[in-house]
Amino acid sequence: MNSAINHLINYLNYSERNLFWIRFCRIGLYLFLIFKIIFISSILEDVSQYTPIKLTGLAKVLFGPILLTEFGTYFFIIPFLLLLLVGIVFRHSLYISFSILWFSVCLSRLTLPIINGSDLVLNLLLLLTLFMEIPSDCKEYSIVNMLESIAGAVRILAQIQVAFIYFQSGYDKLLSEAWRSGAAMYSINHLTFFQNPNLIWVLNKTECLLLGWSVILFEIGFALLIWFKRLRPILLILGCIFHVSIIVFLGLFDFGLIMIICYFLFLPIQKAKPQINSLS
Amino acid sequence: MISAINFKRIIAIGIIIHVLISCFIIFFPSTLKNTFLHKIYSSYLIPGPFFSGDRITDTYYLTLRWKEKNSDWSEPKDPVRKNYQNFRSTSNPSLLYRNRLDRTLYQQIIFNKDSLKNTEFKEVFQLYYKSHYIPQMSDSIQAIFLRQRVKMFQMSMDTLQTFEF
Repeated sequence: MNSAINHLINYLNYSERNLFWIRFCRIGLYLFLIFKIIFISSILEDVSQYTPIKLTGLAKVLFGPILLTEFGTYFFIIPFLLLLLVGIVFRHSLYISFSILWFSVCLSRLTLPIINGSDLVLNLLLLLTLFMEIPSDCKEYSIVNMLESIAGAVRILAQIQVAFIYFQSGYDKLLSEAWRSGAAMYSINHLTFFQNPNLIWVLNKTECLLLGWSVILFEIGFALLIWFKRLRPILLILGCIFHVSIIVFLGLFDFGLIMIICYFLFLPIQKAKPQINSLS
Repeated sequence: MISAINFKRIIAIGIIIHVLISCFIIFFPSTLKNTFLHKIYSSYLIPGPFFSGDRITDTYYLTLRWKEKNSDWSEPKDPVRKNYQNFRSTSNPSLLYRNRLDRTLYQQIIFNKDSLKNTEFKEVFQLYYKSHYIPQMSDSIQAIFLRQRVKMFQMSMDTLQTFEF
């Protein structure tokens, strides 16, 4: 237990982090949100009209920005886009990042009937990225020092969450008879609203079995092996292939994109400097 | 004042506790089910599992037909499939979001059979499909709700409900 704590403390060290990739991840999330807002805006009016939400009491405060849609959906969209642009152009500010998270949670609430796993992962990452960088307006040494420790911890927490998302999916598939037999792949292969008409490839039983097990092994393997720095590049490349395949074959672009953005949290791939002795 | 190393130690212990709780929730999901902790972890901290085996067995479709004055019923149209094909040819992701809204609306009817007895809901449903897929001149609409079940490499398609407006 003590050794595990020491290893974690070593891992938490701020100097090991590469701010460039953390910033890249945050900006990637903001760009993803801009992309999403642009394409969801055309149906936002319909979502509000046909699946309306009623905010009462505390929910009115928690989801305050949703109230702007009463004047028209653009009263919600335009401030959100402006916040995102400010977040991209300027250095990390806790207020701006928090406002973006707030608007993003509100967008998910507003579009609840049409959200998928990508929105949950997006909001989780937006929350974690709040603390992964030291706000530009923070100057006091003792506070900066404490925030650096928190930033390191949140970075590893974000990595753990990504690993858990894969592990949970892989473990659930491993317990599923449909996935173990390949029948689940056959089922996905026959989802007509997820079929790419340019790439219709009817899988036979053996192909379904092999693909099903590849998915199970990849998801569990990613979660367990991503911590070994030598294997990390291979897993990240395999992950990109996996998600790009989902985008190309099934058209689930948002889920694929958000998971690929998560990979920036695992960069750079470099050896950790041993610091346990100096710390203790 | 707490020292830097102690602060890091506290954070490290916190992470370890979080990992243990997450593992417990993944390996023994029924143990903490319906608790606040389970809800927080499964909804916000560890979203998923994705493409779960039992959730991809059944898929639901809606086919629409309509009739204009003095004419026959139109050919059946599957708006979701049509949108998806259009997405593939135009690469416009809005069509995928549109599909999700379509599926949500008709799945509400499939999962809650009494929903169409509710006049207000019926009107909303009719208004939505009329404003997007059905010619304004049509005076009758037929909605056929289908279920595709793929189980152990066997595929079957069943008609669940048919409604005429």
